[in-house]
Amino acid sequence: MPSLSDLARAFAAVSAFQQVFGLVLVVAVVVLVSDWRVSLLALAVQYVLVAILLSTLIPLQIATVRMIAGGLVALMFYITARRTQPRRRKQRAQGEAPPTESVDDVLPRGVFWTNLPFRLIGLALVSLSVIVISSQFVLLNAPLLFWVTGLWLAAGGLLTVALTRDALKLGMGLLFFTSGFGIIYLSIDNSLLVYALLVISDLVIALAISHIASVPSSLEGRRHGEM
Amino acid sequence: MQLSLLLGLILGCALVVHVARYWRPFGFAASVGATILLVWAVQGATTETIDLFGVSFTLQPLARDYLLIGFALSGLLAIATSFGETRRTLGFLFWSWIAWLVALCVDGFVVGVFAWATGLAALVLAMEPRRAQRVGGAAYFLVLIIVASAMLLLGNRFIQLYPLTPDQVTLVDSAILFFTWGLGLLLAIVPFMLWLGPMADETPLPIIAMLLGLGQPIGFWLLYELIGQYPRLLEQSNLLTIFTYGGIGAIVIGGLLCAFERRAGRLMSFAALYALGFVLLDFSRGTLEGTAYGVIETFARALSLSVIAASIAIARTKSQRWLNALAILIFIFGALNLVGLVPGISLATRWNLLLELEATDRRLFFVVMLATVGVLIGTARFVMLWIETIANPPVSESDDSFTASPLAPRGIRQRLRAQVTRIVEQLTQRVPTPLQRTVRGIEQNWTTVFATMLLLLFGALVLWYGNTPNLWLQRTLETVEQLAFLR
Repeated sequence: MPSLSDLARAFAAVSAFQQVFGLVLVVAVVVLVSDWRVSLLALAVQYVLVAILLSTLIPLQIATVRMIAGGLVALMFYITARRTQPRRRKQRAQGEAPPTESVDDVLPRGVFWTNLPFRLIGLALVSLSVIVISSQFVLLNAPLLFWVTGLWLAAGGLLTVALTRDALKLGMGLLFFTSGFGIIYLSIDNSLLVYALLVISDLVIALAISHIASVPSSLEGRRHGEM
Repeated sequence: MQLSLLLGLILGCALVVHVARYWRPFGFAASVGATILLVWAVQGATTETIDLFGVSFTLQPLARDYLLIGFALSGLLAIATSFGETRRTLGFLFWSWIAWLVALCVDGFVVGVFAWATGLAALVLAMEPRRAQRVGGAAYFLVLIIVASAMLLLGNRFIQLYPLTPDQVTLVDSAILFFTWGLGLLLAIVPFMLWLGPMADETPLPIIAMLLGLGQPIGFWLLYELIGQYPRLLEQSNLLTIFTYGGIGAIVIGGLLCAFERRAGRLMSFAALYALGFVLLDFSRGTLEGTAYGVIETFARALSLSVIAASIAIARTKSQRWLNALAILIFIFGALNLVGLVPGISLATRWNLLLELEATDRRLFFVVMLATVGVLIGTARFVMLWIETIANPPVSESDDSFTASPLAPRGIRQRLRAQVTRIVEQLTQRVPTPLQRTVRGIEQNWTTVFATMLLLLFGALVLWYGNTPNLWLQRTLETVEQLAFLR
């Protein structure tokens, strides 16, 4: 079983460039790829990369807590996705209509509101914005590496939230945002309390998103002119 | 009672109510019990400071009053919910209070914001998405909580650094920018109120009342606690001006949206936005009286929203015409109290503000009056619709056709019900016939009796609250005076 020193050695082997490149890649994957398995993998990789990045700010033992929380979050999302996605696929394969009241649920719909070229352009624009903002402003003297990566993750997360109509994908976007915010905040205030609360909030978000993603539709017909 | 004990008690009550919801009599009894117990516990709660992991917790007098009203209203909403067939949300009327108690007692903005956000996020679990696996009002509300909390934390960091460089007012300005963004989003202040409608579409009415009436004002508490720590936040910024503009915007937009709304949830949300405008205007005065009036308006807003939600919730459950008529009457009471037209303290505080507006800017006064008419139009249209529904009741609206929540464990409930029915049948064979008839009558009508009692209690509460102005004003002035930023 690998010890903490092995983990430290492994973390040290990842250069800053590799970290940034990895984070750019995972955000791009979540924004561009519809498949939930690939997105979930990107989310898990993101947690590892953020833990590596944060281990330069806070003690390694504490940084790994975020990685463990990320594992739990990914597990929660995996169970939720397994519960919800195959059911729909199976029903579609058998040619059955899902047992829902809404017409919208009967018709298969994509994970995103927009098509791939639009998302690609959106991602390019967000990248450009991050580059411009990070070169023009610095938030309270945050180190450049943390400022850029934090901004990139937060912006990428918000882009995912804006483009998706799938609850699980939205949750992933939200977790990318909290990771980005966590990096930025910890770089300007090295507070372990905030770090701990951010880890807890990630679990709360995952719980709420799993609930939203798995709860059945509850249209009761009381929408327009309801009593 | 110590804070840790109170926290444990809330946890226990929430757990019991959450589990007891599967069987209506249990749900009702647990809701009544939890309400009485929590109100009693808060009355005896200590104001001593306790330290935990280096963070200190104190229950200030105003926070204790807020908890008292909060528990009473949450409990009454839970009782109203317990009459219905769908009782999934019952426990969520108590769960959030665990986090909100921490937010009200903690001596630290960061922990307070996290606790507040956690309480709001717990309410997301009580929401019901309109489309399975799709994002809607509930999911966007969650996004909003996270983004707003992040903004508040960044604002806090700016203001923490300010005393190190007192000549740099830019830090205070940046802090105000982030606070406006964060609080504006969560309080739905114009122009950040876009989430209100979609959220209302996916949220049961008692939860809307709790979120807007009792959850939102905790943000003000956190802000005023922070101002107590950093008084320059108020002195060297235009925070009060932002409150004024935000308040006027909320009144106008809230009134306008109410006038065109026919959906119960949205009508409640927009009316709450309208009332929030007056709270902001009161706070924008920056004086002891202004703050006290703001607190009174906040309590009146919470009470009105709870009355509205409970009356509609009961009317949806019960098909008796007389009970519906009573529910309409109580609904009108609640709506008028929200608008500030019930004689008493709500009218007094509202009138005070309107007179000031009339003296300073007459055009603004007329705009505010027009917004008030907008809320009244919305309320009147809704009541007409309601009366129409009573006159021509749809078949699917009857008690028997109400479908249980898909999440409710039908198996457990049906098995429990079958067991209880069998035991009752065995016992009733030994009971005399007149007694059997009485018991059957109680069994069939107990919810109606208690629903009527609850509606009457709500009506009496509004009247009592409205007609004891001295009591409330004096109490509020006493408690507000003890806030750090006013000291």
